[in-house]
Amino acid sequence: MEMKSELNLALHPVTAPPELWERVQSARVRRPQTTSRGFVWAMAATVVLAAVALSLVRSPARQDPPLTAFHCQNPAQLRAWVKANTGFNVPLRAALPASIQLIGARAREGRVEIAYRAGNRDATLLVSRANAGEVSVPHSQVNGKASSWVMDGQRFTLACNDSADFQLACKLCHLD
Amino acid sequence: MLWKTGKDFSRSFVQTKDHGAVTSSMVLDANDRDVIEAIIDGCRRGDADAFRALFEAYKDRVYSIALRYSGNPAAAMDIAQDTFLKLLSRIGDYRSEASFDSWLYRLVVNSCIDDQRRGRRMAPFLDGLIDAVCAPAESVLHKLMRTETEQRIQAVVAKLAPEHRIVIVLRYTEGLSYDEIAGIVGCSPGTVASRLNRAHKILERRLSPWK
Repeated sequence: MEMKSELNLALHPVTAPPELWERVQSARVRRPQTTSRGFVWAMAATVVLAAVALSLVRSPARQDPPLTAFHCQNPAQLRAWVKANTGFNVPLRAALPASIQLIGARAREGRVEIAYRAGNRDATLLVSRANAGEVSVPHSQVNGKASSWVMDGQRFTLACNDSADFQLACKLCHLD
Repeated sequence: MLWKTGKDFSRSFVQTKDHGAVTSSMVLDANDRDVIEAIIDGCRRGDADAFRALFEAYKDRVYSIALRYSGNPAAAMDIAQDTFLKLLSRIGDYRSEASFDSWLYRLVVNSCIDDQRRGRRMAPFLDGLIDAVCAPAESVLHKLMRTETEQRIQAVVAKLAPEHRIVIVLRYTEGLSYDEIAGIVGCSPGTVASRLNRAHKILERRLSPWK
C-alpha cells in the first residue's frame, strides 16, 4: 500500500512545456503531413499506370537493348554466366580473399559490368570488346581511380571509389 | 469550422462553430466523444485548428507518460513530438468505434519503445531539484526530501524492464484500469496484474536500502 501511494506521488502527471507545440509545428514543416492511405495507393497506381503507358509508347520507336543481370557471390558461377551471356572470358580468381566480395554482374550491348566490394568500398570492372587491332595494351591510370588495359582482345576498365583501393581491387583477378 | 483554444487545455477547450457567423460557443471536455469525433474529422480534413485543439486536449497526458517512462525531459519532448506527428499522419487509420484515448495511448507507448530502441541515454532529473532549492526557506528541507524521494523512485522506475515500466506508468501516472492497460499494451488483464505485481516487488527491493 505504501509503495502504491509513493508511486502515485512520484509519478504524478505533469504539464507539457509550452515549447512542445513549437517543436511539433517545426517538425510538421520538415516532415509534411502524410496523406491518407487511399490517396497514397491512388498515387502509386497512377505512377505505375503512367510508367506502363510510357513504356508502351516508347517501345515501338526505341528498342532499348535488353539488360540482363546476375546477382552472385560465387566467382566460378559468375565467370560462367559472363561467358554465356557476353562471350567474354574474365579471369576471376576461383577463390577470392575475404577483402573482396562479389555483388554480381550485368550485361548490355556487348559489355559486362562486374560489381564488387574491395574492402568496404565499391569497385567495378567493366569489360568490353577491344577496338580492331588492339590485342594487348598495358595498364593506364586514368585519374587515380580508374585504370584501363586491353588483354586478349578484351578491354578492361577498373574503377574504384578511392585510389587507395586499387591494389586491393586488383585481387578480383590477381593473386596477392 | 473554427476551433478556438482556451487557456486551460489540459482536459477542456473552447469550441466555436463558425459558418459565416458564430453560432455557438461552449466549453467542451476531451472525454466528450462527439466533440472528439468532430475534432478528429477536422484533423482528417487537414484542419489546422482542429489539430491544435486535439494537441491542447492531450498534450499533458502524452508528455506525462513520455516523461515518466523515459525519466528524461529531453527524451520526453522527443517522444511527445513523435507521438503527435504519428497522430497526424495516422489519424485516418483511427476507427471511431474504438476509444480514441486507447488509440492515442498506443501511439505514445510505441513512441516510448521506439525512443528506447534508439538507445537514448537516461539523464537524472534536475528540474525538481532546482525548483526545490528555489522554494521559500521554511519549505526547502521538506521539498528537497520530497524531491529526492521522487527522483529516487523515478530513477528506479526508469530502470525497470519496458514491459514492467509501461504498466507502472499507465497505472500511476494515468490512473488507468487493468482492462484499459491491457487494451493498450495488447495483453490480458491478468498479465497486466502479474506485471504490476512483479514491478511492485522489484521496486520494493530496489528502494528498500533508502527506507
